Formats: sequence, structure tokens, C-alpha cells
Amino acid sequence: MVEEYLPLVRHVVGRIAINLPSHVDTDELFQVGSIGLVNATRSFDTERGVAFKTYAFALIRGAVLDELRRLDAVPRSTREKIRAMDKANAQLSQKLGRQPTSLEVAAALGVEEANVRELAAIARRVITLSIEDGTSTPDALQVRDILACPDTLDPFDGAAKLEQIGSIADRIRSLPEVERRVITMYYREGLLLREIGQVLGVTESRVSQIHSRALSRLQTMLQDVR
Amino acid sequence: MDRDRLCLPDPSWRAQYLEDVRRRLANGELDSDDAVLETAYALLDGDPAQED
Repeated sequence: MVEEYLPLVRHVVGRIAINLPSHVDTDELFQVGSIGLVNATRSFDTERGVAFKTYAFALIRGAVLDELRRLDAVPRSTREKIRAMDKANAQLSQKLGRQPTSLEVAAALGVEEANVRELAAIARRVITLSIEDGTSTPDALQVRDILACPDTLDPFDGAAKLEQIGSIADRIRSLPEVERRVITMYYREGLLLREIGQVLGVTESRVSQIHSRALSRLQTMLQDVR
Repeated sequence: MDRDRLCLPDPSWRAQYLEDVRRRLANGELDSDDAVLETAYALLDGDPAQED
């Protein structure tokens, strides 16, 4: 059974690795994810009414994220400073139409340039950041935030959440194709509405409409489970 | 990286990523069960665009 689901481990690791710096050892993550899979085979209970794949997915993903959290030793206070720096970066980039200098970011934050350079150096080495793309958009913050808040993605948070995820997945499958794809690209792939428009060849406002419509279809369920 | 700049993105990376999404969309990978499952997880985690 373990061998049968090893591709799922590769898939989960591959998806998470998109947002990680290249120096992170994905082979190691694969090993950790495989342990999650083995644990899933041992602890799976058919009485829970959840498909094994759903259950295994949660434990594999959780094991990989736990490993990343273990590797990430940056204090939360530092992480918050990095987040503020990222935000200032994004705002200045938009305002100036170019990437800001560390001096400009320091001025915006009211700190010394050396502080910004130090934070930037930390941000480059911590694995929780989307440094490979380096985007300072909220999308880039997502992985960091996930890892900063272990509770949000704890894979061992019980059958109830697994069932909720399975139910939401069923609802997503039932969406019209274009809505399902917009939701997938927005939430899973982390694309901006504008970027989804580029992929689908439609305007950003059209994507926004589709996104809103899909969410309204999903809303009742999401309100129930959040 | 320009030493005077922060660790901001190489703009080409995002373009490559978009191209990868296009390819996976065309291959049907975004319609797979795994994709749907991960989307469900992501939805439960909240709206990334509203983080800030």
C-alpha cells in the first residue's frame, strides 16, 4: 500500500517545494513525507468515513510541514519584522515602479538601513520564505504564515477536519469547470486574479466575477466549517 | 542579485511560473483529484490575497 501511494508523497513534496529556496533538500522532504505515509497506513481507520488518500494526504503534508517548521528557527518576532519589510517592499515597488533600495525601505520603516540588510539576509536563508520567486506579494507570505502558525495546518487535527476537507473537495468538483479552475489557480497555485486572467485569456474583472460566483457557491459550506 | 536591492524577485521567475501553470492546466493537472484536494486545504486556510 505504501508503494502505491509514494507518487502522492512526491506530489505533495513537489507542490510545497515550489515555494521553497533551492537549497532545501527535497529528497529529505520526500523521506519525511514517506514516514507520514507509513503512519497513515498504520493509523487509518475506515470507520472515519474518509478516503485513505484524503487521510494520507493530510499526514504526508503535515509531516513535511512539520519538518520545515523544525528547520525554521526564526523567532516569530523576527518573522513579523520580515513581514513588515516585505510589505514595505511591495508598497514601495508599486509606488516607485521599480525595486526599492534597502535605504528606501529603511526610511519607510523608520529603521536603520543596517537593520533592513540584516533582515533581508535572514529572509534569504530561512526556508519558510518564497525567496526563489522573491515576490513580496501576499501570495509569497502564505508559506511563511502557514509555517508560523502550526495550528492552521496541523495534519493531526482529527477526523472532523478531514471530513470537512473531503466535503469541500466534493463541492469544488461540482463547480463549473471555469469556476473550479479559477478557484484552483487562486488558492492552490497562489496566482493573482490578474495572472489568472493572463492564463485564461480574460480580463481581471472577469476573473474577479468568476471567483466571486464560485465563492458564493462554496460559501455556505465554508462558513459551516470555519 | 543587485547588492543595493533587497531580495526581491527576479521578474522572470513569475513569468516562468505562469507558464508552468498554463502547461499544467493544458495537461489537466489542475483538474486532478490531488489538485482539488489541495485547493480544499488552501480554501480552509483562508484567502491569500487578504492576508494583509
